[in-house]
Amino acid sequence: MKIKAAFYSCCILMLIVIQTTFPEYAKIFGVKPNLILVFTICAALLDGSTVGAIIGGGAGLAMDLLSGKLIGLTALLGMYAGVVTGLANKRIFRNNIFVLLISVFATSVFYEGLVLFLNVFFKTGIASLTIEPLIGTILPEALYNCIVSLVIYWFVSAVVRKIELKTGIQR
Amino acid sequence: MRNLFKKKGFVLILVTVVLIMVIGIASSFKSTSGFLGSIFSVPLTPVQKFFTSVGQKVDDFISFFKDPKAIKDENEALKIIVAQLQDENRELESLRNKNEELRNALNLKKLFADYVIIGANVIAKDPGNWFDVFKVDVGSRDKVQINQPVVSSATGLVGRVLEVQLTSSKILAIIDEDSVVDGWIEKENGGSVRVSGDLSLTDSGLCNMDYIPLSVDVSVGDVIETSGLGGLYPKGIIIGTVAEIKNSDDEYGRYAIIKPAVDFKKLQEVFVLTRNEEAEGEPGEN
Repeated sequence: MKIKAAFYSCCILMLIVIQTTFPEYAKIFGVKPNLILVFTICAALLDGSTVGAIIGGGAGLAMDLLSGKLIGLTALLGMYAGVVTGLANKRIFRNNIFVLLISVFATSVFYEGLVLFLNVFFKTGIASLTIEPLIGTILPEALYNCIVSLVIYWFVSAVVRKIELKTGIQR
Repeated sequence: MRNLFKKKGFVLILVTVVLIMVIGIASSFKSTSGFLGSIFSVPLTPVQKFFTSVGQKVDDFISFFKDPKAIKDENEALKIIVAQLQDENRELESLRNKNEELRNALNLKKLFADYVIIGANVIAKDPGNWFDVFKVDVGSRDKVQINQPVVSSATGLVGRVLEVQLTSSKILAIIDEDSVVDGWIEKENGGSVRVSGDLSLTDSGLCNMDYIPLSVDVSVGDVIETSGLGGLYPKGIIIGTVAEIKNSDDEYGRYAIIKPAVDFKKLQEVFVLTRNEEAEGEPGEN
């Protein structure tokens, strides 16, 4: 468990650095993926809602402190993303790639939708909410997240499997 | 009580309440993350610096090979321009001395005589797609303070310091929806306006200009500068140019889209303007 925790922590640190220095040329339609959210979902699908909540909340808080604008918001949303996705692990996930993609897509849309809603709603009111950010930012980001999730999930699950085999822990 | 803490649902609610309180406190006091942020920021800043510089190098490399035909055409065009420039250069040589004088009158230091200019490199950008906050490699140890204005080398307004940590600071760009700048339409019979960021324009690197006085004849291409009102930004920093004028339902009847003087997608170096307290205290000294 300690090795796995160390592995997850290293991944989070690495992804935070990549996320905050994400280069322009890697953006698709002007949008970058949310690597931390994708990692949270992958970990939650592999290890359940508790691990998902800790990773989502912890990484979100670190992101808030590093580069975010409102301390605690990413942590809160990340934690719930981990909890909700972790529940899918319990009920339907059996290393199914479609469950992974659907989870990443749905969580990304809800997560970014909530970030947009909370910011617009509390500042300028519901009247200024338009469809443009959904089409221009949220959907491309959700698709980008899905593509990235295939790589992240493949890597994380392979390493986690090795750690579990070595330490004799079976899920 | 112990059993209560063992229940996941209770812990989840507890953490949620704590985080909501943190959000509330953080939104009231902008500098709350200063100390805590430094704990993460100080060790990560050099790593972020490294990744940003590697990213920029790869970006340059990729753009070189992106479109060879365009590069070839550009090369041909540049050859013609070089020939023209060589002619112009000889002419300009004679004007060099005069130009030097004018430059002295217009350069960055002269324009901001009351300020100490701190150069900084952009080391990290906002992790999400909604805001335009970025991090630079100067912080409280370089005497950077909250709300200090930030400009680019071309004296275009970049934004202001949002938060200061020990070795780094967060800069709120003028295209961020939270940014509001008092502007001035730089022309005869110009007027005071408000330039603010807009969520739908942030991604295209543009911002909004409203409160345009009815008496002012604003047109596309007009230069917008800081007005100096409010005391946050010194007067005369170029914000951008009017790109489009649109009709609105409010009492002013129109608003404009501004193309900032700064290209935020390519921004690598900025200058933080800090008030020169020594010069203010001792007027005789420079």
